[in-house]
Amino acid sequence: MRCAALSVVLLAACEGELIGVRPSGGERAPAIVATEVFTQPKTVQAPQTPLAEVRATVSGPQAVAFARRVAPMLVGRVPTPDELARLSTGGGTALREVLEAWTTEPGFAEAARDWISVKLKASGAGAGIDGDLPGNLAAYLVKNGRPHAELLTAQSCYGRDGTPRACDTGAPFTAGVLTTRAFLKNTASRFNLKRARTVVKTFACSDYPMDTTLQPPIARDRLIPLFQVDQTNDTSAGTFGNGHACYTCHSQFSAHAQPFVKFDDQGRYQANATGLQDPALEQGRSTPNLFTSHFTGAAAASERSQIFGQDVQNLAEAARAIASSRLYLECSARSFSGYVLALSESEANALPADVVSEAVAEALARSSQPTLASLVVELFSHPSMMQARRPGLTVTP
Amino acid sequence: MAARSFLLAMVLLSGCEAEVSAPVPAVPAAGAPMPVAPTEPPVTVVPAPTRSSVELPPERLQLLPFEVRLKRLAAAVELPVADPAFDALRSRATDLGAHDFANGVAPDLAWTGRRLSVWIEGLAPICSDSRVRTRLADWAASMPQFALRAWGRPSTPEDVAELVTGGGLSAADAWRANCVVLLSGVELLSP
Repeated sequence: MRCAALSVVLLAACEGELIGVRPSGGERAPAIVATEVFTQPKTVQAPQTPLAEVRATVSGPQAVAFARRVAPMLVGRVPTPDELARLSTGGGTALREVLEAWTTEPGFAEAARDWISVKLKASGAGAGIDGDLPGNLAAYLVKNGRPHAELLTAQSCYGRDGTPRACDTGAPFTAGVLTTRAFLKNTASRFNLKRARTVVKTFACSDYPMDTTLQPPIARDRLIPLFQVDQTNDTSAGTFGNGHACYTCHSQFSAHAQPFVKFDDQGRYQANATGLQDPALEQGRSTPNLFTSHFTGAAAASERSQIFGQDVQNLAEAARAIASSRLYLECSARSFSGYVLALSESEANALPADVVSEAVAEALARSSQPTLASLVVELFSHPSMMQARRPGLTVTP
Repeated sequence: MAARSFLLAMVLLSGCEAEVSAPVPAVPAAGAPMPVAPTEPPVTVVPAPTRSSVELPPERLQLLPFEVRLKRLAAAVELPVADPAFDALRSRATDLGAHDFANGVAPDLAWTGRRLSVWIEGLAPICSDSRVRTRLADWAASMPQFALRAWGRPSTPEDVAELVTGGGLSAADAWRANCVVLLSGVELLSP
């Protein structure tokens, strides 16, 4: 009997795919007796040709043309004669090796600096704010082989020379570039909408309204009345903002704006911020120089929120929630590619999802905490990228 | 009995691992129930998904970021990028499209006539620099090396044919004209 049980267990391990059996009946059945065999049609997907094999089919001239196109933006120079020779003979496989070497050059760190500076519109110095802090952090991470997630989770800011220094908001926590006054001042706006939108556009390549499986909406009754409504009772459109179609977007905006509730319009942290509307000011403004929360009651003053379905206590935890999502890596790969290839944001977001996803998967297969360098190597050595078609691209033989 | 059940178990297990019907040994004794070999299920093999091709929008003529332009220029004339010869260009960085967001200047990578004019003004110290004039004294002879450094490609006969020669210009003026033309060309200053 024990053996019969073993048979059943073994069969169960087959997950019913191949054969079914039934006992011959009666408690004293001598064993399991197979009396019926039935089959189910099975669909098997042929394996995809490994990337390395496809990469090896990229020709020398294609590799040279792609390298010449991206090198100035990636490393601030043109390919050397030696690199050109290697690319000519080694094609796509050689390009990957060249890319790996390029991402260790100082020029690549400078490219990362400029990319983030442009994305966050932060550079130079003025009004007591160091606009270079976001770019400095990006360059530091690249130079030191740090995970790209630390752009949002680093516990320190850095000078241009890589020397650690405190970030400048005065907040009791640090969240990489998000806790720099350059970013916070640039994105200051009523209800903290611009801060929220900049974060999701820049680091998740998303916009409002977004898929509710990515960002579950905040319950309607937790929001102030302005954002609860979708339509008036008489179905008129209303006159404020996007009419009365408020809840759809603000049920998500609210979640992303709340961690910014204690940062004033100069990017300084104010622990006593209430998040409450100042009735003497325009909608969305709180005092002093702060912005109104979407939330009602005590939640208005709290930095607690829910980001991409995760409960967070403050901006640092919100940043970790974003940076730990695969979407962040894919978005970064898209965004940096857009910077190098002079694509608009929408053009970068239109890069094929399967290509970006496969490149990020390759980076993740090598490390659970990919660097920007690894993301760039994987995406730019993807055969589809190396063979990208671009009208008007001049390929010099 | 135990042995028979064990064999049946093995048969089932082998079917499981192989995921197709396997030969079934004729084990049971006479009169015992015969296990029936699993039959091979129909398998449909669907092709692997094709990787998408990447279609980029048409290339637009735009400048490299200012700092990258400067680096390429420095490489082309074989001077370090921090050399004072580039100070004139650096002093006009924002005019030449560099960003300084803190002071309200966004990057502008359009290759406008005004920007070209400012760039050419900034080339004056470079094209009169004795080190450059010595190193690139003969543009035609220097072209193979210049093309690799400036453009990242071998030079072509057309590169040499396009050099300014004669036309009433003195040798010094022709050299200077070539210096300005080559150091302000699209191939050097755009991706």
